[in-house]
Amino acid sequence: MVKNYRVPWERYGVIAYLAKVMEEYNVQFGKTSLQKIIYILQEIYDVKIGYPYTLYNYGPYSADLANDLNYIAALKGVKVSWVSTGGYSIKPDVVADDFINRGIDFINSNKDKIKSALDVFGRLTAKELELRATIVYFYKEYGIQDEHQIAQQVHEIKPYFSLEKIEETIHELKEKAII
Amino acid sequence: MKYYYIRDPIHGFIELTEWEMVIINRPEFQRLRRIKQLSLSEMVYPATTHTRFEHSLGVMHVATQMFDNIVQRNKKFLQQELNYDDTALERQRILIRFASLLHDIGHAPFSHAGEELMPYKSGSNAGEGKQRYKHEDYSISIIDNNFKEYIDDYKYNYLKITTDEICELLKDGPSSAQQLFWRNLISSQLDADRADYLLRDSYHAGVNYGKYDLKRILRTLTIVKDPETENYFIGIDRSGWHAAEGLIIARYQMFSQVYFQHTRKAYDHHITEILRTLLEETRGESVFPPPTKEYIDEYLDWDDWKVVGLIKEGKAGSEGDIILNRNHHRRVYETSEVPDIDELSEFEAIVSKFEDEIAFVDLAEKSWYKKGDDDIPIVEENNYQWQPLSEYSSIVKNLAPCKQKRIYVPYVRKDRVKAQIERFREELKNGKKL
Repeated sequence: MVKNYRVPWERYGVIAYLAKVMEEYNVQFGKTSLQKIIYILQEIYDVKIGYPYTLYNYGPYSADLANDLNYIAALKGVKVSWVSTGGYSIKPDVVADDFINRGIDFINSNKDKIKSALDVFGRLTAKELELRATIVYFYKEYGIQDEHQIAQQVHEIKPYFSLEKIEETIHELKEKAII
Repeated sequence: MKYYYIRDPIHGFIELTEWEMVIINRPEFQRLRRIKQLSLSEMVYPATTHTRFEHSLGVMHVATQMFDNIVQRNKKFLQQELNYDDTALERQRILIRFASLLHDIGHAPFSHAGEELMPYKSGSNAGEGKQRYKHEDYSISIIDNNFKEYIDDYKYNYLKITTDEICELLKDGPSSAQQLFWRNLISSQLDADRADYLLRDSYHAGVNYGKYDLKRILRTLTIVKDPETENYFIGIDRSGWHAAEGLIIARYQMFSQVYFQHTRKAYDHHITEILRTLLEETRGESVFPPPTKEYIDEYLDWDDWKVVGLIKEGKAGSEGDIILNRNHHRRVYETSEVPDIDELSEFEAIVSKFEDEIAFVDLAEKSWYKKGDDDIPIVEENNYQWQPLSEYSSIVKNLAPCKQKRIYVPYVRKDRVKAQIERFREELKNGKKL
C-alpha cells in the first residue's frame, strides 16, 4: 500500500517563479545564483522547499535541484542558456506560468518571505551569493559562531576572497540579522 | 619498493604498492569481496556478480591515471595557483590512491539498496525532514577508526600521510583549496568512480552500452575556471569533446538499460525490505548502526553473505521467499522518461486511486544514480576559460533528465490492476479533469 505520493509541484513552481521574478533584478541569474538563493530561502527565510544541500566543493549545492532545473528546462518551464560573457542565464520559458500555477498555493504562502530574500540578495552576482551562502553554511551546519573562525574557514576554501572581504561580509550579514 | 600486479578485465594489470597491499589485506577491505556492486541485478543480468572489491581497485587505477595526466598537462598551474612542488605532488598522488581505494569501504550489504536503512543524522538543512547517513560517512568512519595503525603509523610512511587527509578527500564540507580541487577526481561529473563503474558494469551485464573512450578522456583532462565564481575544477580540452559526449551517452544508456531496468528495480525494493526485516529482528530497530567508533565494527559485520544466509534460514519472511522463488512484484504502469505536466498529474491521480493495490512506487529521481548537472566544461584554449559541452553537442543539449515513475503490484494482482489502470486512464481522457 502506498500513501501520500505526490509530485513536488512546489519545487518546480518555485524554480519557474524565481526565473520570472529575477528578471526584475537586472543581474545575471544563472545556475549558481539559483542554487544559492534557494539555499538562503530554506535556511534563512524558512521557505520549506525541501532540497537537501551539501557543501559540494565550493559552496552549498543540491544535486536534486540541479536535476529538477534541467527537467523543467526540458519541459520549457525555464530556458537555461549559456551567455557569451560566460556563465548561464535562466529565464522563464513558454510554460513557466503552468508550473507556477501548479505550485501557486505554496508560492503565495511564501511570497513575502521570497520578496524579503530577493530584496537583500536578488541584486548580487553569483560570486557574491556564493560567499554569503558559504558563510551561512558554516554558521548553520557547523554551528561556528566565532566570526574570525568562520572567516578563516571560508578563506581556506575560497582564497580569492581576502580575509578582510569575508569579515566585512560577515558583519554585513549580522547587521541585517541574517546570521 | 615492491610492487604487486592484479589482473583486471577492464584495465588490464592494476599496479599496487606493498603499502596498498597491507590495506587491501585488512578484513575491512576484504569485506568488499562480499558486497556485490549491483545488488541483485543478477536476477536480470546473471553475470553482474562483480563486487565492490574489484571496483575499488579500478577506481584507484583510473584516479591515478587522471592525476598523472592532469599533472603532466598543468604542472605550472599546480605550482603557481595551488603551491605544489614535486614532493607535494608525490604526497598528493599517494593520498588520491588511498582515498579512491577506500572510497566504498563503508558500503552496506547489497550496495545502494541498503542505503535507505542508514540512520538519520541529527540536524538538517532540507527544511523538512532529516538527512540519512550515506555510505561515504561510513567509509570515513572506518578509515578514521580502523586504519590509523596501517596508514599514519605505517613503518615506511616517510611522507607523513594521514588518515585525516584521506578523509578530507572523501567528505563533503570545508577543506583546503588543494584538497577541494582534487576532490573532483573522487566526486564530480568526471570522477574516477563513474569512469570505472560504467565500463565495469557494462562488461559484466553483457550489454553494449556504457562504453566510451576512457583513454581519450584521460588524455584531454584539464583545468577550468568558473567565470561566475572563479573556482577551479576539472574539465576536458576542446579536442576531447566527442569523448565527453560519448561518456554522457554511455551514462544515459546504462541508466535506462541497466541501473533503472524495471525488474532490477523491483529487486532493489525487495532486498531493502528484507534488510529492514532482518535489522529489526537482530537489532530491534530497522536501521544499521550509526557510523561511530562504538558501532562501526557491528556495522562491518553486515555483508551480502550474512544477509543471504539469513534469507536461506527463512528469517526474511515473505520478502525472502520472493527472492528465493524469483517471484518479484510486477510493473503495471510507467510514465515516459520525461513526463510532462499532464502526465505527472495523471500519475498522481492513478497512485491516489489505486493506493490500496500498489506495492510500491519507484521514482527515477530517487535512484542512487544521482545525475545532478550533466554539462561537462570544455576548455576553449589553454587559458582555463570554458563553455559547457551542451554548446558543442546537440545530443547533450537535448538530453533531458529521466524522471520516469513506475507502479508495481504483487504478481498475483498484476493483470487485474493493469486492466483497471488502463480503464481509469481512459476515463480520465474522456472527461475527468485532472
